[in-house]
Amino acid sequence: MRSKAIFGLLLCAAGSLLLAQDKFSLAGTVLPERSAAVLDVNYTGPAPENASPYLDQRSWSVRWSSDADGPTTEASVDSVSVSTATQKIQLHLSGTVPGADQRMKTFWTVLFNPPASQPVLPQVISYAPSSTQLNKPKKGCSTYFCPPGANQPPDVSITGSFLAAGGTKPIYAFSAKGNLVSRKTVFNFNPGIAADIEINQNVQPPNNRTRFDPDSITAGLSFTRVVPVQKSRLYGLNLQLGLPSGEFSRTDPSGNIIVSGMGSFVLTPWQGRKHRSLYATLYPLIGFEAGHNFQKPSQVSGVPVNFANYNGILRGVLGGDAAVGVASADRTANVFLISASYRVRLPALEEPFEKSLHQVTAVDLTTKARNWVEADINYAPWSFKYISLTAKYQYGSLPPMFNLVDHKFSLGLSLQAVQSHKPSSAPALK
Amino acid sequence: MISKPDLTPEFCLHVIINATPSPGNFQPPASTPSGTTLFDLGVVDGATSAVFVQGVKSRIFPWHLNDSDLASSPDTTLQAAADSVQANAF
Repeated sequence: MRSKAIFGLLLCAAGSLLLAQDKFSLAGTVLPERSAAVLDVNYTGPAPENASPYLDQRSWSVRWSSDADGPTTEASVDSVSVSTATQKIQLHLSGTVPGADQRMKTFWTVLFNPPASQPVLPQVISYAPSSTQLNKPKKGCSTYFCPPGANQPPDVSITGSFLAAGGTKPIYAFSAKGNLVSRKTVFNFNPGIAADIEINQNVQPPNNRTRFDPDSITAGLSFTRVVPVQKSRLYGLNLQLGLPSGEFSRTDPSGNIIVSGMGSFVLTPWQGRKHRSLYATLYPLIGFEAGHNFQKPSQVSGVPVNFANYNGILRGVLGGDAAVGVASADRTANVFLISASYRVRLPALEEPFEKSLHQVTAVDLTTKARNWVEADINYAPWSFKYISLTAKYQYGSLPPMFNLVDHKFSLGLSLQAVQSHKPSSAPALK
Repeated sequence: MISKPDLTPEFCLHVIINATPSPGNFQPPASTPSGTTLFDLGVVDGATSAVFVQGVKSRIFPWHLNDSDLASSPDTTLQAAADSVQANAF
């Protein structure tokens, strides 16, 4: 009996909440228009009824000033109209109002004060010009690096994992990635610096000493540009030029200087019809890498090699990035997200290729395709978004020496951040 | 010389909707600017958000807009995104 009463109360509360969301209410924001002496007051829910006090100009009063603490001037509200398409109540002003070129730089205060007989509360809504309109530095995250927001890939991340087992020294594996972009443009491209360091990705137990040997380091100057397309399923293009970049390996000292060009096709995401939170993305990629080897190792993974003929580098790159996720109801985060990427490098000229079979390592100069597969799950349930839990799977080989990473699973922590006030750009291509 | 379009609320909302990957998902009167997010129209991640920003900027040209001034995260409502265009274009 008591449980039925509690259930009934909960049902009534839920119903009230639903009704509240469908009721008219002022949203608490107001914007001036440039070309007309009109203030737009946002509302949510259905449009107010004709007899509503919200449509009576006597309920509204407006004051404005040229700076935040200066004296205010009153403007007359001649009439009130509604734009149902944009959900705005429009206050048409007359009297002393700022000129068209000043309205966005003016501080406005709007008072909704209905007659006492109306069952609605007064409300004050104000508008302050943005930093851009006032030509001032922007507020918000003032440090150079900020925590990544919802569904926002980090610009800088450091991921570490630790393997401890019997009969082996501890193995530490790290991955550091960065993509910093300038707000200035060069021929409509944003210049930046991209770097990727993979450490101990292919070290397996038993390990007789703990060490940190960088396996693969790429770094270079990059130019990125995002192009909107919106034709059929192709939403846009993400272009990235690496001019130039270096590929380095410390374990078997080698170095390449590379020029690269990558293009990613941003296809329109798929979204579930019944379950709108479910979505999937697919971004195919095509590109090239060309360059020159300037440092040849004398051995690779302990195997003596002769790379006298290894000089020029020319590769085609194909691949794609995909993700499947479920967004939270408020769309601020992903409840669940799996992302995966695949790259295949197709050398036109012979390059080192390491094969391991039954604990025997062989290194050849070949034009065989070099594959790389990576799948990630990231989860950050706490409020300190600089750190997240990461599960990762990797298989394949990366330049310059294409040492094989053989079906590697890891769990660890990622330290990640985004560059503040960064120009909008898609995730770095690699 | 290209004339600047009038940045009315209707124009800004029209730009926002048409710059998304799936503008057809916005179906008034069931869909409202304050009740629909960019995620609902296909802006689901960083890549689509970046294309969305460039699409908005190309549609309001010769008005200019700083990338960081456009509210473009997936949880942004259409009303908030349109307001950010109206408030920050220069």
